[in-house]
Formats: sequence, structure tokens, C-alpha cells
Amino acid sequence: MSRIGVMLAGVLGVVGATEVRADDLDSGVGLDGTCTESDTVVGYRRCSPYASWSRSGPNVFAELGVNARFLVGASGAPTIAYRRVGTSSPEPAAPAKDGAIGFSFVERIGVRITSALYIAVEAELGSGVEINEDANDRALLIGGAGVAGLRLPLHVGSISAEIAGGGRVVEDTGGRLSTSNEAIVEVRGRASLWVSPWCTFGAVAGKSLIQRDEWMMGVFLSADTFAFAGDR
Amino acid sequence: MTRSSGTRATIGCLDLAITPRAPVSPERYPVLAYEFGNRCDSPVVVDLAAMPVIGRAADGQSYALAPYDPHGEIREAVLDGRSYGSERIAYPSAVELIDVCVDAAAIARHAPAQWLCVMTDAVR
Repeated sequence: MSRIGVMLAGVLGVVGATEVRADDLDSGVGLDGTCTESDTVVGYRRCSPYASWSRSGPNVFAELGVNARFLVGASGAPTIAYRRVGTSSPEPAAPAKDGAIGFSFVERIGVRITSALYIAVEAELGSGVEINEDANDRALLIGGAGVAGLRLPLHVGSISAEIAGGGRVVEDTGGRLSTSNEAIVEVRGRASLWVSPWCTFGAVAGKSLIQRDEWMMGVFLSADTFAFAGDR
Repeated sequence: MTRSSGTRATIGCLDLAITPRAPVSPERYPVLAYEFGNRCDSPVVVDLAAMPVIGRAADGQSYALAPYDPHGEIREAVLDGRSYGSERIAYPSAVELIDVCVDAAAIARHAPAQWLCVMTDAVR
């Protein structure tokens, strides 16, 4: 349809929503800010650029996951309690750490600077502790961290090692329910498998460098902007 | 050289279909619709700018054609692994053409040339 034809059709109101209107012939953008195409041929179309199908931009990934974290009790340094197995045995049973495992959801977004190097930011939202005044538990309420990692691409997925630093708010039941802020420095190992060219499923495990007895593990789904993260 | 109202080819990882479309411009330039898919995991180059295109008139005369690209948009681009895309490109010509032939191998930067021809009169 010629431009004049399109204009006449628009004025007469016979052009549908996907057609151009009389007020957007020059830019393709109407008075309400929407762009409508009158043509799909390069040089005549206005709304979608050439090669919108191409791979471009940064190599970005986004992840959603669930973590389990063991945090030592509010008393500070982990205390080790010994439980006796039977009254006749003088030997202590396996030590029990003062602390609790809590679960949290984590979301993170990152960019692969090279195939082997990435950076990311992450946010984590936990459920806190169950109210139990007899316990000495701590659990994550909310946290955030910056991450830098080294990655080894494999045909079926990848493995990586990373360090994360940031802060978090934890809830504890050390006598009474309260919250506190603390720093995070963690080292982690990750492994992931490709479930589609743009999606991986993986697992992560890590350990705190500040409080050596604290650890985390989790699972995640990751989406990539480049097929197979650009590895192939 | 194949000649049809629409044609397909596979060049390395790239599956390509070329179909003539009805001219849309007032000048009634021939329009070719390119649809392409990457059958591999790794990305491939799709270059619709540099590929040779030849038009043939009813008298047998051949003409080298260049894409209508008033904004300088058409360029080499990378098609990601397992992805697909499409473009419609007009080829200005001062004479009425019955055929337009494209070196399909050049789209993916392959050699030797693989000429595919479509009938522009099929859509008139």
C-alpha cells in the first residue's frame, strides 16, 4: 500500500490497529506513543530496526534459586554442645552446633565479561527464624551481595568458583527476637547443566569466610541472553 | 541454478528460504522475503548487505541489484545458535524484472557461490 493510500485509509478509518495512521506517517509513532507499522520491508518500516533477530548486547544471565543456609547461634562464636548417649558412656556423642538452617529465595543478575569471568549482583530474601525463646537460632531476613567468579565452560554446562561480598539482616532468638546487620564474605562453588540453549539448572554450595562454621547450599534456574552463554 | 517462486537452501548451519513478495513501494521494486534459521549451537553470520543479487529482465539482460536501504541499516549481523529471523528487502530496478537471483552461500560467508533464483512475476 502506498503512503498516500495509507494516509487515505487512515483518514477514512478503514485501517486496523496494525496499520499506520495519518498522524504517524513520518516517525511511525502516534500521538499516544505507540508505534504501528505500515510495512515490513527494510527502508519502509519504522518501528522495528533491521536485524532485531541478531545476537547483540552484553552476555547477561539472570537466576532464581532457593538456598539453605546454616547460621551459627546468636551467642557469636559457635558453641559445641556434647550430648551423652546413655548414662553409662563417658564419651561424648557427635557434637551439635548452636545454630539453625534457614531457607531463602535468591535472585541475581550478572554479565559474563569473558567466557571465563563474570560479575553479578544478588538479592536474597529469607523467612527469618521461628519464634522459640528456648532456641538460639539465627536466620536470614534479607541480604545483598556483589559476586565475581571464574567459570569453566563444559559441553553439558559449566562449573564455576566465585566470591561474594555484601551485607545481610538476620533475625535471631538469642533470648528475645531481634535483628542485626552483618557483613557477608563467602566462597562458593557452582555447577550447572544446560536444559535448553538459553536455560540452565544448577546447584551451589558455599562457606562463609567470616564465620567459618556457616555454610549454604542451593539450587537455581538460570536464563541467558546468548545461546549456551556464547560458549559454543 | 534453480528457479522457482520460492526456494530453500542450507548453507553450513544456516537454513534459508527466499520468497518473492508483492511490491509495496510506489515504485513497485521487487521484494524478497528472507527467512533463516541456525541449526547449530554456535552463532553464524548473516550478511544480507554484501551478498551478490542479480535481476534478469524479459529480454534476457542481467542487472546487478543493490538493496533499498535509505537509512543504511542493512549490515552483517550474528544469528545466535538455535535462533531464527527474517527480513524483507526491496531491490530497486529501473527495468521490469522476471527473476531475481541471490548468491545464498554469500549470506553465510560461504563459498563456492550457490545461486538461488525466484520469479518476481509470480506475485504480480
